[in-house]
Amino acid sequence: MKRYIVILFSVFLIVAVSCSKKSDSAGSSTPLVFTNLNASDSTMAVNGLISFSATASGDGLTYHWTASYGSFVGSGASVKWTVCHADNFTVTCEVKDANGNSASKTRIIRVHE
Amino acid sequence: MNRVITLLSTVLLFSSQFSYSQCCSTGSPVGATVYVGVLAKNSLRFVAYYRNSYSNTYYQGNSKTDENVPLKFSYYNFSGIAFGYGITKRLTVEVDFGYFFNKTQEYKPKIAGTDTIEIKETGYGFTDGGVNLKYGIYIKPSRQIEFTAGAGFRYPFTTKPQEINYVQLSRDVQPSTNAWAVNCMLFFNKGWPSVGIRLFTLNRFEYNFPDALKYQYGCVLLNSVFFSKKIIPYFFAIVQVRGEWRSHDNDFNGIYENGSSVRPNSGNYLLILSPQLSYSIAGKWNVSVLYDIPVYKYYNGKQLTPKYSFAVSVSHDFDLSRKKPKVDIETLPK
Repeated sequence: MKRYIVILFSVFLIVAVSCSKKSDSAGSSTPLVFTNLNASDSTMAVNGLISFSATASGDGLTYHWTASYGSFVGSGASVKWTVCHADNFTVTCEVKDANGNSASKTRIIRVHE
Repeated sequence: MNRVITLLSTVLLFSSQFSYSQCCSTGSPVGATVYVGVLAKNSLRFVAYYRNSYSNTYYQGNSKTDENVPLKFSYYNFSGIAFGYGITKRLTVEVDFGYFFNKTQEYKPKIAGTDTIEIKETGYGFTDGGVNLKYGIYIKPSRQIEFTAGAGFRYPFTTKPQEINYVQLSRDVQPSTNAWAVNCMLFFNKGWPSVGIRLFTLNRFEYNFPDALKYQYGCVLLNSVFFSKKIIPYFFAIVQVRGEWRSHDNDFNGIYENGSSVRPNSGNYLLILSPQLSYSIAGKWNVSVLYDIPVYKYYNGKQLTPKYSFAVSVSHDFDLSRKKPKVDIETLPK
C-alpha cells in the first residue's frame, strides 16, 4: 500500500512540475501583436503587381493570405498580388501564433484598366 | 424509344452545365443537372463524363482584345458522376458531383521597371455536389410530349478556399465555389417519329449565395434549344443553340464608395452552338461527344473567354423494378 502511495505521489509531482513549467513557458511567451500591413500601392492597373508585407511579433507566427479575387506570388510575411481584371478588391492577412491567437488586417486595392 | 431518350438525356447532361471560363470570369464549372426529363419508376441512370476546356483569348464587350492581357493560357480537366432514380413515374431525384484533375492558369503580370515574371497556379479537387428533384407535369408517351419542372440545390464540400503554404489560390483555379446555390428548371420535349426529329427546350436558373469571404457569384440563366435526328441506326446527330447570361458578381466587403456591392467588371452573355453525336453500344451503353463553338460573346469589362470545350460521356440505365414471374395457375401442382 505504501508503495502505491509513493508511486501516486511521484506521478502527481511529475505532473505538477510539468504543468508549472508549461505555465512558466506560457507566461514568458511573446503576445501576438499585428503592427501593420503595408501595401506598395493602393491602386494599380490590370496586370500589375503590388507588394504586401505584414509586420507582426509573437511566437511561431504563420501568415495566411486571402483576397476577394486575384493571385498571390510567394508566401510568409511578404507576398506579391496581381489580378487580371478591374474593380475594387480586398487583400487580407491573418497572422496566427503558436498559442492559437490570431489577428487580421485588410487593404482595399483599386484596380483600373 | 427508351434508347433514344437515354441517348438524348446523356447529351443534355453536358448542355445543362454552364460554360464558365476560368480567369476573369466567375465560379467554377459545376457538375451538372443530370437528366433533363424524368425517368421511369424504379429506373436508375448512371452517367460518367469528362470535360476539357482551354482558354487564351480575352474579350472586352463583344470584341477580342490583345491590349495588356496577362494570361498565357488557362485550361482544366474535369470529370463527373451523376445518378438519377425514378421514385415514381413522374418524380425523379438526381445527385451529382465532380472532380478537377487540374485547373490551371499561367500568366505574366508586368512590373514597372523590372522584368516580367511568370505565375502558374493549379488547383484540384472536388467541385460542388448537386441534388435535384424533377416532376413530370405533363407526360404523354403516345404523343411523345413531356413537360417537366425541377428544383434543387448545390452544396460545397468545403467552404474554405484551397490554399498552398497558407496562401489562397486564385478564385479562377478553385475547384469549388465554396458556397451554396439553388436552381430551378423547365424542360419541354416533343418528338415527331414519322420524320425522326425531336425538339427539346431547356430553361435553367441558378442563384448563388455569398461565400465565407462575402463574395457572391452572379445569377445564371441558361436557355437551350435542341434538334435531334437519327442519322443511321444507333447514331443520333444533335444540334444545340444555347444562350447563357450571367449577372454581375457582388462583393459585400464594403469596398465601393457608393455603398453598392456590385462588381462592374463581371457578368457576361454567351451564345453557343454545340454539335453533338451520340452512339448506342449494344443497346445498353451510350456514348456521347459534344463540342462547344461560341457564336457570340459579350463581357462586362475585360475577361477571359473559352476558346474551345469538349465533353465525352458514358451512360447506362438499370431497371430496378422487381418483375413478377408469370405463373400459370393451372399448371401449379395441387
